[in-house]
Amino acid sequence: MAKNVVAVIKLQIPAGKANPAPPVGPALGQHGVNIMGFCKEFNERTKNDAGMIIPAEISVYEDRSFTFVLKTPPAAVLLKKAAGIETASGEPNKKKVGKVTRAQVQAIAEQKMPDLNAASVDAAMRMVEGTARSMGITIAD
Amino acid sequence: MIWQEVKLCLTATSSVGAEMLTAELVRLGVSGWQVQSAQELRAYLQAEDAPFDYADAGLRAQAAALDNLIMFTLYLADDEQGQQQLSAIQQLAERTDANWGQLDVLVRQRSSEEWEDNWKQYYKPFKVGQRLVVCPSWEKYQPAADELLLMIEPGGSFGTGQHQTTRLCLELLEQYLTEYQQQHGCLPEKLLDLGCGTGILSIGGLLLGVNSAAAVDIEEHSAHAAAENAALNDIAPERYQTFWGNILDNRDILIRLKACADHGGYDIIVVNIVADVIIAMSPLFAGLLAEQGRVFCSGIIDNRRAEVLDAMREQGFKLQMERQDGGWWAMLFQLD
Repeated sequence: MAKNVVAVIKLQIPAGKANPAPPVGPALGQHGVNIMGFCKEFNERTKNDAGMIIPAEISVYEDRSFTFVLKTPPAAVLLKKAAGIETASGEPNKKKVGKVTRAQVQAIAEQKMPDLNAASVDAAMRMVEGTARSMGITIAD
Repeated sequence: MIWQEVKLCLTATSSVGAEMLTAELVRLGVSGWQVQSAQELRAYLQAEDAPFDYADAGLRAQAAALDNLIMFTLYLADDEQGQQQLSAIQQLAERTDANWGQLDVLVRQRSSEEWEDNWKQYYKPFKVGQRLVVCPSWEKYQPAADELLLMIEPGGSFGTGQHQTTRLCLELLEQYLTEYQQQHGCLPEKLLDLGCGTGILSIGGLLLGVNSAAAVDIEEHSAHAAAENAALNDIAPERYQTFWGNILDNRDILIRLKACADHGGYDIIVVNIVADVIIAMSPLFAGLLAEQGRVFCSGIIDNRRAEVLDAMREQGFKLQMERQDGGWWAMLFQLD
């Protein structure tokens, strides 16, 4: 049977912790998706990424069945992990809270390339560097 | 429950701006959100490997309506912590040093009742395998002569029959019972449903001819839901017992489950959970099974199949049958 997609939902939620509470419940419920079914599948597929926020792009079909693909975590989450910090700086211009190397920035840029609208790894690195600065993370050469 | 729905609308921004806002949300301890972006929606609709044959016209209209907007939707509890987070988020819109374009914050109250039951309008009777027809409790369905009606009130429990893990297990169970009857001229006596959820597997087993079942779940509401669903299907209480607890750390539950099978063991164990739990439970299966009993395992994704097979082999089981759909596996094991 031909698959007619009626909705696309992108959620960014903690790995292994999806539950029917918001944002999952309202995002899926309004399109008639079985919320419990999604939670079970998302949690099983992300169980090894504990502590990360994982984007899921969910396709909802006419019969309300669904499929989803997992994307790379937001650069901010990858930077936090690379810098080994719990929270970003509330005053990034004044207070620096961590440091990453250029090699780490490149690794994050390469990981994010499939999801970023970047023409090259260099362009993706500049995006990641911008995010790092906004978090109070400095780049060490 | 009441929630504060917060929409963060970014205009004149790029994916960098969205990443920066994401960094702020992470810093403020927000634990999840929905993102809507015209750019991403257009990319999805135009992708060569798009997971659809047709896209609803409304999706293209949605991409056009979003224009250059990137919208984050998140929900905060209607309590003191939620108010603090909301206040911090509203301050983001006033920041002049942020490089994310214009940020507008829209807030409104939402009740969880608005979405909790919405999916039910699309949950209609459907056939699983050759004979079973799963029917939600609020729907009417007149089964044909060769059909068996399985009524389900899902409540908040897993097991509507729509997910591959449940459907595959029911199909495998029906195939096994059909072949068993052809070979033996009778049907197995006792079934144990581990992680029963709504009880759909064990109730399906009873409708297919198994005499009695025990069902257990670590969620109290699921154990109750299974009992209520058994009653909904006119199954006499003496044929269906439910238990609440975790068999991995509650020895009393194990003792009661064995007693429920008159210490002779179960002819069938169905366990539709996830690979980790199945592996953890695997040392217990042999002790709960009757001679010549079978274990049906489901809820196993592609990349965990080999681990489950190894764990079951280590406990003396061999694979008898398996089915796969959409990256999920259901397997039937017997003692080697």
